[in-house]
Amino acid sequence: MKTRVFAQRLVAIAILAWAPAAAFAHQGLQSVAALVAPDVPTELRWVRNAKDAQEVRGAVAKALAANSLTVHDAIKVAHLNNPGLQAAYNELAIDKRPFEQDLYLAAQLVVRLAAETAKAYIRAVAAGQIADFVVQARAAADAEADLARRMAEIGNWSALDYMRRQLAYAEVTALLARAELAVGAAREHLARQMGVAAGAFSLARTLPPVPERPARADGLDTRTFAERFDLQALRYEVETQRGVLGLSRVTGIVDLMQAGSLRAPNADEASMMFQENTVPVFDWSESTDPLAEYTYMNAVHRLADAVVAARSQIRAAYGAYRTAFDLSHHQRGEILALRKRMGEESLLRNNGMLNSVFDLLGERREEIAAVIATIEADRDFFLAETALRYTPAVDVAGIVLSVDQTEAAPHSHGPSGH
Amino acid sequence: MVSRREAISGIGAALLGVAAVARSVLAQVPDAPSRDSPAFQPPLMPPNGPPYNPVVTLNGWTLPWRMKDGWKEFHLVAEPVIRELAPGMKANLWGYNGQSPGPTIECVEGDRLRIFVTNKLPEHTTVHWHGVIVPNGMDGVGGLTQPQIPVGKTFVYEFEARHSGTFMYHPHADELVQMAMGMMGFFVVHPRDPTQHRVDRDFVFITNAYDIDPGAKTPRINTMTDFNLWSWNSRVFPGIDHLAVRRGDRARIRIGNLTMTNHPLHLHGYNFRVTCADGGWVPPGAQWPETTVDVPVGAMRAVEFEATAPGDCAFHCHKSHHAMNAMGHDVPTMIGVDHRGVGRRIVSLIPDYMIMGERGMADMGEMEMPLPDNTLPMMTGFGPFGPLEMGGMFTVLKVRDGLARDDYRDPGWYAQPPGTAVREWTG
Repeated sequence: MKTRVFAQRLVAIAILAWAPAAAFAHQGLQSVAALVAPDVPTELRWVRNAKDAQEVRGAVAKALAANSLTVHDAIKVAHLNNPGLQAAYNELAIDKRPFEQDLYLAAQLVVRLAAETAKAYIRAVAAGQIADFVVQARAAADAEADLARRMAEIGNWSALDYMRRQLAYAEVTALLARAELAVGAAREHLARQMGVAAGAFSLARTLPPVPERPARADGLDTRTFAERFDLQALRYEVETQRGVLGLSRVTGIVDLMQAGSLRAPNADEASMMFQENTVPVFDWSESTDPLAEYTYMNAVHRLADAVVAARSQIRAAYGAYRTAFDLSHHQRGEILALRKRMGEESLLRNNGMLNSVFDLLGERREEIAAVIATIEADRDFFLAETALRYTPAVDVAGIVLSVDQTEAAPHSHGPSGH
Repeated sequence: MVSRREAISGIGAALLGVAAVARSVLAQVPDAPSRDSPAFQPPLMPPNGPPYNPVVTLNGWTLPWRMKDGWKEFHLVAEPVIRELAPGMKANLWGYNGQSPGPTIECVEGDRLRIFVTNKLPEHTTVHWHGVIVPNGMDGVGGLTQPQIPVGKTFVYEFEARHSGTFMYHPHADELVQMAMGMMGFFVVHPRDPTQHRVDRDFVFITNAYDIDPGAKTPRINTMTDFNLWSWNSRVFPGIDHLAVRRGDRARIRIGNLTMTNHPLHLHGYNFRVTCADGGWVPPGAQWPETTVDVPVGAMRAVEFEATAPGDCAFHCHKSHHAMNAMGHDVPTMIGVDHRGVGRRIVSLIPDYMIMGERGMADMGEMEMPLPDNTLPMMTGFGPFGPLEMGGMFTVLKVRDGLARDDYRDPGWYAQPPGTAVREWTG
């Protein structure tokens, strides 16, 4: 798992603390790139003139020219070329949010686009790989039907026997049409992320091997608060409210790692403002605003709620990852291995004329079905791995490339939205 | 109970049997000799009691006995065994004294027999003396004439062998299972007068059948008709002993049928006479000539002939599926099916696939392809002119000049005199 530290983020923001109102337009992308670097080492470009556009076109063309596009290059192209992301940059430049809020929003968009592109890439490669095997299954059914026809023609088989085999072929043909449609749809989805045409790139024929050992879960969900951009944004909101409301006398501490429970401050904490896992509450009489308590506590509880949700999402993501890992190995090591051995035994029987070539081809089709199920299990593993990779940074489940959506994320998703 | 089990072999069988008897003469129950091999055993010359001309059990043996107070005492142990059906295949069967079928019991008309039966099976059993006329209480029908012999117990059957003839023994308790698992044996009562019905070579075997899935070892006991291994004395070709006969000998072949169908057994090269059935000897005037003796289910036949002509004579069940080993009864006929274009596509999907059967199935007899474990080729065996393409109930009667009286060894292939063999017509 990646290692990132809270301090790194604070540095990135501190550099820009002096920025003027339209800071995002001038400094935004550098800062966003620095923010997301631990999650997505990438290149961000805001295309504002013909020269920018030409450079981006060149970089995109170079990445797409490869014999098979890598997932890293797919993400790079998406970050350079996705028109929605360009729209978001412009929107952030003209909104009225503080600069820091803009940075967190932009960082979420960038990471989410990376996650969505990676998922689309995995689905597209897997769909192609599956279709290749459906082609093989159809070839097996085709050979069966062809032999059956010839047997019926010379009187070795009845029309009924022949039609059984022809029916199997017809059904596999329909399966292949669906598999090819899935390939097209998956490529289109990936193409949309990258802002290019579906025919503009070549993909690997196969998914990479699933690792032998799973990643460990140790402490994954306790790192949440430091690393999630949505939580950073909400935390910034709390801090901003404190300043606006003029609060300074600490009367309690809200522990974000304990579902926002409130306790009395100890001696050390009485003068301390914000720490990594806690936020202070104040003596409301300090403020001239009669609604200070409600305004401030609204922001605090929204943050606490989001922390609970984020930690839960990460645990769930790890659970999904771990199960997908186990299923992939089970599918390959047990189910597919058994199918292969059954195929070998079936061939031994065929050597002894104890079964027919039709049994053999039927067995082969069953084995191909197991291969396809294995590809699906591998695909599901890499999807789960992608979710696990990005969930510590953003709410991957709710991937939507829109500034407005992200702003209201903790509310719009509802209590059980994840 | 059973004090010790002797493995006996070869000519020494009788002597070993004597030695075993001598050592256990004071024991109440005689030793139960056992065999761990289906190898041919020469006839057991009677070491005591009235003289007789012993039989030869194909791939089997005769059970030694001890004489005690005027009784011939035998000891059968019913037990699970491993039987080699032919080289390359072993079956988990049930049998007696180490093998299936059990040893042949030979005795003489008028002998008083005391047969101890120890049950080492996982379930109860009995022994029925098929065709032998015995007191009702000795007939071995579980529940009807006796309580079954419980696991671990020894029962004693006592009766006089009143009629000479050709008989069998087998369980009459959970009979379907125990016979499907191979429990049976031959039972010969020789005439009191050894010159009566005398022959020079007297072969015996029981036809039995098993259904063992290719790659498995244990018969499917619930099969009723679709057996895949048709055997003589739980052996299939090429595992069945040849019948070596000296030219000029009078030969007898005795057959019992404990399968679930009849077997028309056909002998090449000779016409024989049916001389005995389970009911007794056929009077000479009633013996009828045949070259195929149809042995009904649960019946015995003996056929006799003068071995006048040397040669290698096929001897087999004439139901052609019975002269094959396990085969795929659901495999469709591929003869004449044009494989052009399709074969290559199949190989691209299944690299080790080989097209077979489009000209017939003779390929099978010539090729040695890897098969499932513990599985015999459907058709196999080689003779001097090529593949024999046989299995199951098939062996060869080999009549030769100059064999020694007790020499039953395989004399090799017959050398046909020049000008007596089929030839290609070349104009």
